Formats: sequence, structure tokens, C-alpha cells
Amino acid sequence: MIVLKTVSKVYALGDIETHALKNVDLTIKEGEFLMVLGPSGSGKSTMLNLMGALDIPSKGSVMVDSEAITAYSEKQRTVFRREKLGFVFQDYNLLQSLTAKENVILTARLSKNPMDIEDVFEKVGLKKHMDKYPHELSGGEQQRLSIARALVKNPKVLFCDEPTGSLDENTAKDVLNVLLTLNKSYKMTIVLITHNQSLSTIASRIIRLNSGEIVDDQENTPSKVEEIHF
Amino acid sequence: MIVRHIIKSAKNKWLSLILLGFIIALSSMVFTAVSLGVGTIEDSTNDYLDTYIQEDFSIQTSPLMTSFDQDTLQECGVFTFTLNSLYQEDQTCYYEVLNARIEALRKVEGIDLEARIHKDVDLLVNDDTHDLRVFYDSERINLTYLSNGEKPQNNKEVALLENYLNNNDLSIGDTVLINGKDFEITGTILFPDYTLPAILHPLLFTTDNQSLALMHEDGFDRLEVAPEFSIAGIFINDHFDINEALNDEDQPFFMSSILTENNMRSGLIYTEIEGTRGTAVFLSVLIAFMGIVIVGLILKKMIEQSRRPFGILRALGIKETELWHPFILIISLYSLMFLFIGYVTGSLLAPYIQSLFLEFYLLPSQAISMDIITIIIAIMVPLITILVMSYIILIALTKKSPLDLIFLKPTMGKPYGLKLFKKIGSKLSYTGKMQIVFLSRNFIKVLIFMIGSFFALIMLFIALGMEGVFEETIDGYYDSIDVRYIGSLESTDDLENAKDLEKAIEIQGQVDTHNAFIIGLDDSRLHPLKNAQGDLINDALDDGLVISESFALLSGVNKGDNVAVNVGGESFTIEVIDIADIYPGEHVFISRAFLAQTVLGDDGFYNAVYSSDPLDSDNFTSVFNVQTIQHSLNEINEIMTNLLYIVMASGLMMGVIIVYLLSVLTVEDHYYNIALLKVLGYHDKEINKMLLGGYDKITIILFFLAIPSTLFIYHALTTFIASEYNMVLPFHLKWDYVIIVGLLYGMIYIAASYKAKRKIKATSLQAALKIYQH
Repeated sequence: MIVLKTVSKVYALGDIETHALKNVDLTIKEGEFLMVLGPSGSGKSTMLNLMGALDIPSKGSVMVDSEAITAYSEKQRTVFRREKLGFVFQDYNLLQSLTAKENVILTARLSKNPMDIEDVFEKVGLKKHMDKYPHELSGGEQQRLSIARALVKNPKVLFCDEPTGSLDENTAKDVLNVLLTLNKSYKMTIVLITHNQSLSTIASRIIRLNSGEIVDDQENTPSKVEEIHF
Repeated sequence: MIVRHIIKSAKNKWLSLILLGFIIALSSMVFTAVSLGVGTIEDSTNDYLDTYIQEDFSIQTSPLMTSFDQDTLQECGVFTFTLNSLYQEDQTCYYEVLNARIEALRKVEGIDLEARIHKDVDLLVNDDTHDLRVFYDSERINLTYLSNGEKPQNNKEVALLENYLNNNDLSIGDTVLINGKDFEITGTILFPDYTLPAILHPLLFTTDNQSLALMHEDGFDRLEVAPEFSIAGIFINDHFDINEALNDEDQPFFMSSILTENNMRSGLIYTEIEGTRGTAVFLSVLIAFMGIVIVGLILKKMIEQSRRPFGILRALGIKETELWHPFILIISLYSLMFLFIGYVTGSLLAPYIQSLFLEFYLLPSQAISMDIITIIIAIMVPLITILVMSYIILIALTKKSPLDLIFLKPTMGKPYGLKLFKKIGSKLSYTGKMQIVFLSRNFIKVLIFMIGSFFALIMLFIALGMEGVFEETIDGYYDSIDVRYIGSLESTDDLENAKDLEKAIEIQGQVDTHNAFIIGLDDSRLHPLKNAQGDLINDALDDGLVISESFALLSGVNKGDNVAVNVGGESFTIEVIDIADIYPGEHVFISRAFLAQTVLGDDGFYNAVYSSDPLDSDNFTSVFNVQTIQHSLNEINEIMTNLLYIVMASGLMMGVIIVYLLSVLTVEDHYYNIALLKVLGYHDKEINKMLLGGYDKITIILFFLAIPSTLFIYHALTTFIASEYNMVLPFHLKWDYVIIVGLLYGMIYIAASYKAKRKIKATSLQAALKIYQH
């Protein structure tokens, strides 16, 4: 599904070079729920940006759904993102000027095969809040809305960057439950990056990054969300 | 350190800041240039006109002999139809008739009167024939202002306008040929009743080929031309309506009186000064308003971008005021620099503005001096406004706890007037809705964008409207007829070859109490009359009156009306049969034979002949060559064209700056949204359409709104000039103007918004998102 071959990413700041990722090899299977763990500066976000066609590696190649996205132009990567990928961010990144429903439509209209909008709201438990503005929703509801926004275009892969980072424990569990449901019901590949080790128990696979390298990669038998201790 | 931070942040916006500085300087410059340039003229003009006793009003009396004049004529033993022919036969009697009329007018209490007699003659310079209106010295009203040299002392001397001498390489001491006689130029003069040299036509005021002149009375008499006159008057105490004080029984020769301020030649200067000052204040306030708001928008942007470092500095113990003061210092210095540049540029332009006035207007010149009030208004007022606004923005955005500053989330709240916008956008496409959302989020920027764009559009339309308006008013008339020479006659008895010329009567009169220039025509080959549909309507003169479009607009008289015509002391009622599509002034056309018979009892009378071939001046009192007026018109058109280019360039520049600044600011403000949309998979073009598409639509809407607004402004200008000066300037909105403005504005919009589109393309996908994730 997703294949990274000897991927490196170097950021240059003047004469100083920062190696964010170093020769990373990784294969993610379809339907996997992959948890990427690591401290700040370990290269988590860089890896997500490369897999999410937001950035290109300095070296190596990235293939997603059998497409070598590293060879794509900016325009081709945009098309790829709009058709195949979904994103959920820590701070929701909703457009506050649009209602919940309009935020979801914003991405639905990008997809050739979007899901039914009401179904999506049903799935994330926000059906009765469809006409509310983001600021009228709680933090957990806003994050579920951002999941709905990503989900509606029926993506092959859902990338989540610290999706529970701004939420309290109970709300975070609600959000994780939604993600687990999507993974199980739709066989959707989910890549979730976090520095919170306690979340890793719900994933089917866990990798750990440190200083731009994968230091650990293991299969996991997912536990229930309710068993997580934050 | 904070100062360095501000300068570093500002470096990224250098073009925006320079353009902003340009706007600030422009507002100061416009105000200073006009305030100093016009202010000096205003002061010296008021002194001049008071000292040299400008007339308060001017009275026109009939050029025909009236019942009132019969006693004087009998005493003289002379019988004539017109004052001109009386002058030819008996000059003493002519002045007796004139004095008798003035005495009759003196029955009105509270006024002083003096005859203002002039002769219109030719002056030959470098083989070119120029027009000269000659006066002799007044005694009580409209006294002569001698700007250089000496007044004429004998019958061979003349004083002319300084502008005329300069424009024709003449100087004091030169000899010129006036009506075939040599005169030496002894000095340069001005008359307070002629602040414009409107000799040939009220709208022709160049001094290239026409001048006013002063002669000694002996020199005046040496000119073998019949004089014309008006009666200049001043109010001794309170002003009142002269027309109401006079009546047909005591003063049957009275035709009209016109107040100085409503007389183009003497009063346009008042409106011009007032109008120019008002326009300058309006423009500078409008430009300053846009500049000040843009300062606020840029400052807000800079502070929002600095909120994290500020939060950290506050956490380290730096006071709020210590954060504000470097901003205020830099804003003060930056604004002061551009306001000062504007003031200095304005001061340098002021003499040019003054010279523009003195190019047209006949006024004494005076050196421009510094003026503390101008400095305060041009520099201090905008500076204080900018600083107060900056303080308010600084307080509003930074008076927060250090943590709030560090972790402040992007302001993405509900847009202003969201419900209204939602209602408007409810039936729009999703992109349309997004455009409405983005526009409502940028309410202030959209407002400034609209004001600036509309202002630029209107300037372009007005500039184009100015093009050709003089041509259409004057030249259009002379182009529509084949009359090339008009010979004026005192007596028709000895005119040879008159049978080959077209006879006409040209005379001042009144139609339904409105002053009119009545033209009696036979079945004219040279003077066709056409209505707005282009139909020839000369035959209509057999059945009644044909009025010009301008007379219809000025008087409110319409086709089919029965009107009272008062001419030469006789009155009759006649129907208006049609309206001729010409705008030369208050022209009214009637059958010559009918007019001659009705007024003078002689259907063979005429006082002018029309010809397409040159006329022998020996046979006529004067010969008017239409080419003379067309030559003068070319001079005016040249000046108007230059003015047109200046106004158009200003409009274009203003449009470019406003569109550039606001579209770039909009994109910068939506850096976050653009990045988000890109991450979601939107293409640059789609984002452009969502974010800037609203501006595209506003631009198109403004363009179409500018068309009726321009029509309204044209109408208001025409109405104002007509009501103030009895003059119709037919501003017409032509299709080619609409196309030209559309193309020009489209071009500046595309060019100015190009940078904003580039910025959208250059926005990093994930960088903006990260800014808010910490």
C-alpha cells in the first residue's frame, strides 16, 4: 500500500544541514492501523509529509497505492492527495466561517466517489450538529468533524497528525474509537503519528522513530480504546 | 532589538510598504499643492477684485432702438433701427441714447452704474489675425489693473494682456497693427470684469490668439468699428434682484442682468477656487483614509505575525508599552517621512498649480509662501490619525497575557454580517459561497478595495468624458453648418452682391423670460438645422420656432410649447416646432422675414450675412471667420488632452496600488487557509478562484455600477454648469469610453493581482499549518 525505499530528508538552513529522515525503509499494508511513535524532532511529521505527498524526499522513493509519488509534479501530487488521501490535524484546522456540513462539503466536492454526507456525520456522531459552526462545537466534536471532513472523500489512506494532542482523555478516546471503527468497517489504512506512547496499544502495528531512523517496528494485537491509560 | 525585529519583518513587505508610503505622500501632496497654489490665488484675487472694484452685476440692453429711445432720436434728428447704425450716423447721439438708458436705470435705488463700452477688432501678428476686445479706462467700476509698464497716454498706444504678449513673443515697446493702424504697446493690463478672456465664446479662453486691450479714449475713437456695451453695476449696500426692480414701462430697453458670480467671464474663478479646494480636500481625505486603513491592516498583520516572540518577551518581563513604543517610533518616522515628501512635492507643485490657473485666468500673480495651517493639515493631522489608530491596534492585539500571546490561535471567527452573506450566498455554487465567505472575512479590505477601484474607474470615465466636450459644444456646431464667414452689417443699403449671400438676423432677445440668441434664417443652404434623429428641420421655421438642444435644457422649453418672444422691445407668441441637436449656447432659430416684419415692420431687414467664401471686410462692420474659433478650440483641446492624460494616469496608478495592496494583503491574511486548501487537494487555480474570485466579481460589478454613476456625475456637472453659467456642456457617455475604461481597468486588475496569485502559488503546503500547531 505504502512503500518507502531508503528515504532520506535533509533540511538545509544556510550551511547547516539537518537530517530529518535517514535511509528509511518501510512498507505499510492495506488496512493497517500504523502508529508512528517518537519524541519531538524524531522525524514523525517529516515522514507523514512524505507519505502524504505534501513534500518530496531528498533521496529515495515513496510509493502509495502502487504510485511512485516522488516522481510526481506538484500538480500531480495535488491530484493524488485530493483523490486518495485524507488528513486529520492536531488543531482540527477547520474553516470557522463554514458550518460543519460546509466544511465536509469542502472536501466531498474534491472526490470522484464521495461518501454520503449524512452517513459520514452519522459515523462520527455529529448528525445533529451538521448546521453548527465549528466554534459552537466542543474540542472533541471539532476533531470528529475534521475526521468527517477527511472521511467523506472515501480516502485510501487517512493520515492523522497528533489527533488527540489537544483533547482531554475522554474526548480523545471518543476520537480514537471513531478512527478504529473506520479502520475496521472500511478497511481504511490509517497512519497516526503521536508522541503519546499510551495510544500505541490500539494500533495493529507500531514503529518508533528516533533521530530520523526507525529504531523499532512491531506487529501489535490491538486492545480496546477504553483500556488506554493517558 | 524589537526595532530590529520590526525592520526585519518589514523587509518582506518592502513593495507594499513603498506603495503605502506613496499613498500617504499622495494625500499630503494633493492637499499641499492645491492649498498653497490655490490659497495664494484666492487671497490675491480677493484683494485685487475688491481694490479694482469688480462689478457686482452686468446689464444688457437692447441693440435695437426702443420706444424709450425715440425722444432722444427726435432731438438728434436721426432715425435708425439699431444702436450700431446710430453710431455710424451720429456718435454724439449714440452716447446720448446710452446715457439716457443709464439714467433710467438709476431710478433703481442702492446701485451705482457705469457704461462698459468695448470694440472688437483685429490685431495682426506675424501674418495671423487675432481678436482684440478694446476698452478705455473706467472711472468707478472695473478699474484697470496695470501689471507692467504704463497705461496708454495717446491715440497711438495700447496695453495688452501679459499672457498674450508672452504667448506671441511680444513685449512692451513693440508696435502692433490693430485694424490696420499702428499702436505701440506701453504696458500690460487686467480688468476685474474679465477674469477669463472669454471674447469669441464663453468657453474659449486661451490668450494665444485673443486679448483684452486698454486704449486711451482717443485711441478707442480711432478704431473705426461700432462699439458694443453693457452696463456695469455695483450694489451700494445690500444685494437684491435687479430684474425685479426694473419694469417694461420705465426701462423697455432692459434685456437682462447677470450677476458677476453667474457670469463665466467674471465669476468662474470663484467656482473654480471653491471647486478645486473642495475637490482637493475630498481627494486627499479619501486617499488618506485608504492609506490610514491600509497602515492599520499591515500593522495588524505584522503584530499577528510577531505574537509569539512578543508573548515570549512579555513572559521575560518586558512591559506592553515597551513593545508598543518601537512600533510607534517606526510608524511615526515612516509616516512622517512620506508625509514630508508629500508636503515638499506639493510645495514644488504649488507654483505649477498656480501657473495652471494663471494660464487661463487673468489674475495678478503672487509668490507662494509657507503656511503653518497647511503644514498642520498636510502632515500633523494624518500623522496623529495614523498614530492613534496604531495605538488602538497595538492595545487591542497585544494587551493579553504572555501565554495568550504565545498560544493564540488564528482568528478564524465568524465573519462580519455572516447571516446577510449567507442569505446572499444561499443560492450560489459552493465556490461562490466560499468567495462570499472570504469576502466577508475581509470586510475592511473589500471596502477599501471598492472605494479605491470605484474612485479609479470614475476618474477614468470623467477623464474620457472631458475629451471632446468643448469640441462638441462649439466645433460640433460650426462643423454642422457650412457657414464659414459671418459679416455683420450696420446698414444694408450699400451692400453689393448681397443677393449672392445668405441674409440673417442675429440678435439678443428673450424667450419665455430666458435670454436667447435669436437667429433669423431664410431657407438656408449654409445653415442646415437637424434634430436629434438627423432630420433636416429648416422648413419648421415657416411654422414657428426651432430651439437648440442647449436652450431646451437651460430653459425647460419643449417642442410643442407656445412661448413668448421678446426682442427689440416687441413681444409675440410662437410655437416651438422642433429642437435642433446643437449645443453652442442659447440659440433660437426663427424665420428671418417673419422676425424682421414683426419687430421692425420691414421684412427685408437683416443685420448679418452668411458665406462659405471669404467676405470683403470693407463692406462689413466686422467679419467673423469661423476658423478663428476653431483655432482657439484646438488650443483648448490640447490643454484638455494633457489634463485628460494626467487624470487618467492618476486613476490608473491609484487603481494599481489599491488592487495590488489589497489582493496581496488578502492572500497574506489567508496564508493558513490557502495552505489548508492545498493540503486537502485543491489546485492553485481553484484556490485563486475561491479567494480572489470574489474580487473579480466585485471588480466587474463596480465597473457596471460606475457606468450609471458616471452618467449621474455627467448629468450633475452639466446641470451645475448650466444653472450657474447658462452654458450646456454635453457630457456624453460613449460606447468607446466604456470599452476603453473596461480594457484599462481589466488590465490594471490583472497586472496588480498577479503578485497575489504568485503568492498563492508560492504558499508552502504544510508550513502555514505548522505555525498554528505549537
